[in-house]
Amino acid sequence: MARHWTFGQKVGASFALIVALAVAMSVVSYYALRAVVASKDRVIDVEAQLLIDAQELQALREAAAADARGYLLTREDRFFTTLQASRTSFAAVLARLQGNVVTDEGRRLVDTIERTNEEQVRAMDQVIALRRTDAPLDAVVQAFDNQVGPVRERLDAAIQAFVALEGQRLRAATQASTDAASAASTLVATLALFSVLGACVAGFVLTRTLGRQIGTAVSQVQSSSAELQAAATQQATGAKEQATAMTEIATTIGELLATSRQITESAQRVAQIAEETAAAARSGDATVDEAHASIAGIRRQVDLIVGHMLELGKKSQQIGSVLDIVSELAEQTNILAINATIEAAGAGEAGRRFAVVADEIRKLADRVAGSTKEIRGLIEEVRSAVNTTVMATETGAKAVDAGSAQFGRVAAAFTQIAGLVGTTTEAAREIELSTRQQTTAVEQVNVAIANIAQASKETEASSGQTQQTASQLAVLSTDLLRLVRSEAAA
Amino acid sequence: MGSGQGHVMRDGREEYLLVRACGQLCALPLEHVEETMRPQPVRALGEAPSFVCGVAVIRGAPVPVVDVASVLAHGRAGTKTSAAPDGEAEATTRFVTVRTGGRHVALAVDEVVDVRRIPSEALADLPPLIGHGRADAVEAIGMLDADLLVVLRASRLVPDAVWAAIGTGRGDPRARAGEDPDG
Repeated sequence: MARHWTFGQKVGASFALIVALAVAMSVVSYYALRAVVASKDRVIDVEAQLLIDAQELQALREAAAADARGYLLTREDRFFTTLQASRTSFAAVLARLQGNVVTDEGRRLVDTIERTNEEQVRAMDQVIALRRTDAPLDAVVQAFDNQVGPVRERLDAAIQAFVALEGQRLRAATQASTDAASAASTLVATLALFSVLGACVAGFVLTRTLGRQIGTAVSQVQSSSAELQAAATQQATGAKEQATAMTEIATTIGELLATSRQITESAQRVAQIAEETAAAARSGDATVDEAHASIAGIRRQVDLIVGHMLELGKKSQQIGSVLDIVSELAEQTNILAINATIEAAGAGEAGRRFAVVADEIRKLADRVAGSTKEIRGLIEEVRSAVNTTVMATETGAKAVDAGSAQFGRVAAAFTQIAGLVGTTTEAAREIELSTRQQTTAVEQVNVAIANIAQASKETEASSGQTQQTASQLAVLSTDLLRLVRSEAAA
Repeated sequence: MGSGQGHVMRDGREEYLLVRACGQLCALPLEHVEETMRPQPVRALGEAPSFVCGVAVIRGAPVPVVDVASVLAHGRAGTKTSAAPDGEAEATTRFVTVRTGGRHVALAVDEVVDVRRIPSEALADLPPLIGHGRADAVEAIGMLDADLLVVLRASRLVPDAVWAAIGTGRGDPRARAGEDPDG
């Protein structure tokens, strides 16, 4: 996880560790110092005070003894007054001691001192009272030695014991305090040592980690700068090629522009021609309509011709019928004439002239028959001609119908042509418009290409600059690597 | 009429009725010819020779009808020298009634051409090599206007068996009818 930390986090963690060690050391030092101070204060404030108070108590007891002796010797009230003051101070010190003493031994000794002091005061007061009675001094001394001396020795012994106890406690407390201070010093020193060690370890780890990572990064930067340099070189080459290509494109676009203008002119001409074609198609449509009407007239005339021809055929047939009669008559006449000739021959000389007449009649009948034959042939020819004509006319009528249908299709085709030509005109205009727009667009493209060519040149220049920068970056990364890794300097 | 018919012919029968049958120009002595007419309905006759078409009722009497074309074809059967290649197709258009010894025969011909007077010098007897079979129906041959002319012998055209089959005797049909068919 620490591997993914940032430099800042790592440095912060190291500083935090060092600060935490420092804070721990400070806190421990603070509390150790405070403990040492408290121990010393206790030694000074309690144990030393008790010793001082005990020694003051001893001093006050000696002062009181001196004052008592003085009064006993001199009987001056001055001594008695100071004696009273000493007693009062003694009582005050004793009361303070009773409040401050903590050990059972001390408390027992203080109680012993208080009882013994009260016995000593009472004994002293009896001696003093004795002195006031004008008793002999010897008696007084006697009394003093008997009554006050042992008590005062016990009191001194108790006070001495208490002083000795408090002196012993003071020394013991002083020793304990000194030991505590030594332990605190040792602890603080140990903590300081640990802090220094932790700081050293953190610094080492930080230095090592950062050095490794930065070194890696700088190596990468170095290789990247080399790649960047290569890329910049390539980019410069590409930019140069691009500039060349842009020049070629500009030339091509110039040609394209000229072609677009030619297309515009051609589209204009196409539109014009299409309009003329549309007019011609409309005119052709009208002509076709007229031709259609003419063909209908021809169809009617052909029908009339067919009717007339059929009528002619019928008449020919009627002529044939009449001719049949004539032919029949001629044949009959022929037979009769032959028979008449035969009869005339049978009549001999008398029938000779009749025979001549009969022969003439026969010849006439033959001529009539021949003529009827010719007429029949002619009629047949006429009928054949009529049939041929009728068939030809029918064929013509069919051809006329077909022609009419063709004309209808031609008219439809003309209409379609007119429509298509209209569409063509429209398309040509659209082409013209589009080509104009295209020309405008191509001009804009030309300008854009010029800009791109300029940009390519600038790119080329900036590529050179990039190359230079990449070189500087490579040098810089080498220097940085040298800073991070001492072995890189070699 | 027997073997001396040629001479008789040259003596007096100079006029002939010229007919055409099967393309062949034929001549009939005018003295035997009775009349010409259109073809009449013909009834078939049993056991008749092939050249006899049948019997037609002419002027109220049954008359055998002889197809001249068939006769000429029989006569020429051995020679194989057809003189009328295109005449076969022609239909019979005329009947010519001839009278022979009191009998009447109708000859079916294609065409009645003319009545002509023919000099006897123009005719000759039939050569002996072809004078057999139905050749007895041909009396003489000759040339007329560069055309072969066959003079028919009417009396030999119909065999006696046919006459027996018809059962009719001699007689003039015109006399029995009492009127001219063309009149």
